[in-house]
This record gives sequence, C-alpha cells and structure tokens, in this order.
Amino acid sequence: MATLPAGVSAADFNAAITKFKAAVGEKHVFTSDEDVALYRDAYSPMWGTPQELLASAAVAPDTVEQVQAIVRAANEHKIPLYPISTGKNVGYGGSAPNLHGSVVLDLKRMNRILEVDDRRGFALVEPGVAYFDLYRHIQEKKLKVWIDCPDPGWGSLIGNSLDHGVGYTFGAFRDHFGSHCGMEVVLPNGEIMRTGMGALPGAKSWQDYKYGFGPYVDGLFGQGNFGIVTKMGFWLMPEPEAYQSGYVSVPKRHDIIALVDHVNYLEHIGLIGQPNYSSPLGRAQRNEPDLRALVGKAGGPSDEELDRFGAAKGIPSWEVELQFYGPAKTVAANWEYARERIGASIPGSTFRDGHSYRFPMTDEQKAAVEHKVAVGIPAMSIFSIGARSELNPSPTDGHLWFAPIIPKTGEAILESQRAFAKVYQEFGLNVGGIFQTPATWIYRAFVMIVGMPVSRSNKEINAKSMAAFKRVVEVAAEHGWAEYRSPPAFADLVADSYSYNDHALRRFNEQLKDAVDPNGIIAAGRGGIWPRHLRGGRKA
Amino acid sequence: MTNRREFLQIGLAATALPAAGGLFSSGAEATVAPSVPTIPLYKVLFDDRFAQGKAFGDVASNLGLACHAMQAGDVTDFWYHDLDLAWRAEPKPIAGFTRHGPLFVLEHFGWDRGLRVVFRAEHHSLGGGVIEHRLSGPAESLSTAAALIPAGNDWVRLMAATVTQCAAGCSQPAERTVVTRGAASLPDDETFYSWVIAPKA
Repeated sequence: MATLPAGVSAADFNAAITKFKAAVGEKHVFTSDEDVALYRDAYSPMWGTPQELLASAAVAPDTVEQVQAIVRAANEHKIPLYPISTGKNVGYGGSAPNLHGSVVLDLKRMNRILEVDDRRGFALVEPGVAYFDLYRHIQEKKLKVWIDCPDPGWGSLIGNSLDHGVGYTFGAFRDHFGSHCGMEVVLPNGEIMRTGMGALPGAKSWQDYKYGFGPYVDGLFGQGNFGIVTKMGFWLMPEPEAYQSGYVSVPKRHDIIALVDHVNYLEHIGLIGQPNYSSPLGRAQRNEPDLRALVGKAGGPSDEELDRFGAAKGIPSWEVELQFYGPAKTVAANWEYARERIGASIPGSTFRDGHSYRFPMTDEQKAAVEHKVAVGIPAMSIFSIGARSELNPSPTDGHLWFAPIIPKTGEAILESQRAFAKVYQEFGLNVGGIFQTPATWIYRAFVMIVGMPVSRSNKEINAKSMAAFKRVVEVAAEHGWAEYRSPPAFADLVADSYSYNDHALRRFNEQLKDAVDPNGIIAAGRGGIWPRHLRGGRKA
Repeated sequence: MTNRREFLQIGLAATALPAAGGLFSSGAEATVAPSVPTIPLYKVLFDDRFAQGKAFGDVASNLGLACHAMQAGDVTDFWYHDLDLAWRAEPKPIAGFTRHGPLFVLEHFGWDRGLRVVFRAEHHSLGGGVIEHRLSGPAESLSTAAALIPAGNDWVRLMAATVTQCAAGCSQPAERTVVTRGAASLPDDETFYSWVIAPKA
C-alpha cells in the first residue's frame, strides 16, 4: 500500500476498507497500486515528485444507500473521501484529491438517467452520466431538447456543474451550475437531503423551481465539500429551428470597447448565443515578420503603432463570431439587425456570413459541423489537435489552466492583456499577450484563460509554470481579478486571494465545515476549505 | 483568442507530415506470427491523414480485421457510433496507430470499462531519420518486434503485425527500447503510438 491518509492508522484504514467492501462488493474497492494509479492527475505539474497529490484507494458505489454506508464508515474511522463523478476534469486536477491519501469515492457506476422531459425542458441524472450518455438518450428517444456540453464531452454533467464548468450555446445554459435545478445530497453524517422543491415530499416541481423556501443552499456543493451530490436536475435548451453564425471585424485596437458593448447588448437581450472573439492582427504575426518585430520591441508596441500596421495591411484588430439560434426568420432578422447596429456605430466594421444549419440534422450533417458543441453535440475533437509547439512543448503531458475572471468590457480586455503579458514574459512563457481575447463561456464575465505547459520529463518547465501561476494570481488580485476555477495544487492560493475583510468568506465556510463535517471527511481542501485539524497545512 | 482550443491548435500547421515515400516494401506481417495465444481484436483504429497510419491500416485489413479510419484524428465518431455501444455489451480489445490524443482518450474510456493498455509502442522521431521506439507489453510480442524492427525499413508494418497479433494474458508487461536509423521517417520531434487496449488480465 503506497499511501495512507495523514493521521490515519493502518488499522483504521484497513477496517474502513473492509466496511467499504461490505457496502459495495469487493470488486468495487480498489487498493492495488495499479488500480489506484488510474486516479492520478494526468496533467499534474508535480507528477512523480513527493508533492504529487495521490489517492490511497478508491471505492465505487452503485446506489445512494451504498454512498451512505461509505460515508458512515469513513466517519467512524476518520477516512478522508474525495468524491468524483467521472474524473475527467483534466487541466483542473482530474480525479486526484486535494488532500494526499484521500480515498476516491468514484461515482461513475451511478450512471442512471432518471428523467428527461422535453416539454418542461429538464433532465434528472446521477453523477456517472456523461454528456455523451445524455445526448445518446435524447437522440434515441427523439426528444426535442439540446444539451449544452463542454469541450470535451466525456465528463459528467454533475461533476462539470459542481466545478462551475461551462459550455457553448446560450448564456443561461452555458453556466452549468446556474442551469441546474434541484439536488439530492448525502451529507457528511450520512443523511440524504434534497434541495429546492425536492425538500417537499412528493414534489411535482423539483426540476422546475430552484429555490423552494428559505435559504438557497445548493451553492455550498459547487466547488465545496459539504456533501456528496447523488442526483441533480438540469434545464435543457429547446431544439431550435435554425442556426446562423456571422462574423464582425473592426479595424482599431480600441474598437474592442464599442464592439464588446454591442455584443453584450445582443447577448443580454437574448438575440445571440456565445460570442467568440479573436484577433486577425494577432493571427497575422505568423506571416508578418515586421509585425512580429513591432510586437517584440522593447516596451511593446503602442496601440497607435498597431493600428497603423493594421491599416496599412488591411488587417482588422478584432473579430467576433455571433451565433444566432431560433426560428429561421428571426435568426436572419437578428443577424441583419446586428450588422446594422454595429455598422452604424463602428467606422470600418465589416461583416461576413458564417455557418447555417437547420434542425434536426442527419448524422451526415452532424458529422460535417465544425464546432459541434455550439449546436449541442458532444465531441472529443479537442484531443486531436494537441501538436507539439513552442507554445506547448509537451502537449502529451498536459497543461495548467489559469482562468481569471475579468469584467465583460473592452477596457478590461485591454488592461488584462498588458498586465498578464508582463508576467508571462517575465517567466518566458509564450502564452497570452496583447492580442489575447477572452473566453466567453460565462454569461456575465470574461475569462482570460491560458494553458501553462506541463512536462513529465522536464521539471524546469513545471517549476516555471508553477512560479508563473503563483505570480499571475497575485497580479490578478492586485487588479481586482481572480480565478473562477483552479487545479488542486493552487486551490489554496486562489482561495487566499478572496481575502476581503480578513478572509471573512473563508472563515464563514470553515465555520460551516466544522458544523456540517466535524471529522472533515468530505473533499478536504476543495475550494480552499479545510477541516479544522488540517488548516495548519494550508498552502497559502 | 488563446483559449483552450487555440492553445492546442497553435503549431499544428507546422507539424504536417511529409509524404513518406518508400515506406512499404515486403509484407512484414508474416514474420511475426505468434507462438502463443493472441488477443482477438474487435477493431483497429488508425489515422489516415498520415502515410504511416494508412500502412498500419493496410496490414490490419489484410489480416482480415475490421478497421476504422479516424476523421482528422478525432475519435468522436468511432466512440459514439461504434465503440461505446460495443463496450456497453462487452469490453472488447482494440488496437491502433495514432497520435497521443486518441490513445489518451481511449485509454481513459477503457479504464471505465475495465480495460487497460496492454501494449504500447511510442515512436518518437529524434531527427535525421532516427526514430526511438519505446515498447511496453507482453514479453513475447516485444522480443519478436525488438529483434525485427531495426533490421528493416518496414517498422510501421511490423508494428501493425505485432499489435494485431499481440500475445494474450500478460499481467507483467516488459519494456524494450529500439532505435531505427535511416528507416521510414517521422517528422522531427513528432511522436506516434501503436497500441492495444484489452480487458485487464
């Protein structure tokens, strides 16, 4: 046995394992090195070092009653559990725990789709249900609803949602935690609780109304460690009649400010789904040595210099893809409206049509869709493009996502580009930069995400990425920005940046943790929340 | 935007494989006929964007195995329309010649169904026509492949023959490293994988 949880005796550990086996059957408790190794974080920057966060064992229940039995045994022997759904959250920790030596509570066998209603537009699922599974169910039953899935689509709806994961269609659905409705939770004492309307025995609207009556507690279970979610409802998007995308380009650096304001209006009033920003001028660096020289000059280029270069070459500074969903007539009208609105406001703006689809699609039509997740089709194509490059020297070894939230404005984009580029340059990382545009998954904010390289063979790369990560978290905090999500290795660091009024939020969470989970058995360290007996080991 | 997709895409254009002329000579597959029970494969996956992938698929096809050519190196279609359904009924062995991404995905999918990578060959170009082949799998399969690979230019076909006739029942994989020089090349600093995924022994 390679690893024991800190402070747990071999006798207690073995006694707990015996009880886990009694609860789920011997073949669903994993203690061999070979089996436990499957729960390593494939993208860990600490791979193979003494600091790597490893599980001690894993247990895979099939029913809520089995989860309860495991939790009771863990409480009895003070065994830390780390619940995972399907454990596919690579880049944010995968299935590895925040606390070394935790027993992974692997919920992938709980994979029942309990209900899908395409009239009221919801699904109720267990943690082991992956986006592919729900999509297949909907297709086979010919239901008229879409899923909103992340890229890639192999993860669990519940797991992704609880990590505040995001997707690619309409704002209300892209926020996977925000679009959930109702939970069933096994609490740290082994009791089952249902939230929202689910607290009403015989409730008829558990997946229709989130709040029920009284305080809304669901948020405690997202990026938290107050219980184990065993069922969750999700709102689903009605299948639209049509999809149309269109591209808008604007010439100057500061045009991004007006462009974002227009696009925000279109999105917040409900005319478009996810907008996708990019920089044609940034892409032009590959073929324009003069531009590369300008960008690389000491102190960097001014906005005016970049505008002059772009004007001389006829290359716009910014572009955004707008995505329209709905009846064919209104989709066309909304695209026309967007062109008129932006064209009248930003001199030099240009427009071109993108893709156009009608639904339902045949399998051949689906196969031809370039960005499948934009039309609710799960895919794994993201793993087909991991070529070695200067930007990502060890693509097979993964990356760390640094994902800071900034305001949804053009000014914030320009400010964050310069602030983060300075740090990346200081550490010699070829990420981000003055042409970086935000990820737009989150409805009301931008994410200036970058992937920092990880290598299993070159520890210097990991050391550099980890040092840069730490520094860029600090720089973000100095500007009033912070991460929305983090690999376990940096959870304490990120949580530490949420420090208003002497960490009042963390102290409140810790009070709750002590009250709800006095033995600290559920996901210690998740969200930067540690049980009382482990707070001395906090990394920040 | 350097988002997660673009982060992975940048640099891809610079790594397109050159045409691999002279790759395919005699049928090497006959030389690795096994003396032990072999893993019965449900399907063989290959990346037909590359000459090496096509050659691998040719060998498998000539051996009468069902093959699937990935579209643009993406396993989605294979997974959704084929393998997921097959594995729901019964975890069946598969083999392939791919870049790292598809193997990474299928290995993780396989773990969830009680399968493991039982043979893995990492073919890494060191530049100048030198390729390092790191092999891990059943000792019987490795010793045959390791003896034959340096001798000729047909390492892709040899690997295809090896994985499609991989020895069954291995619980303790062996490891070997073989280097080929001046043989059928890969783009500099590029890596491909030959592999078998099968139910855990």
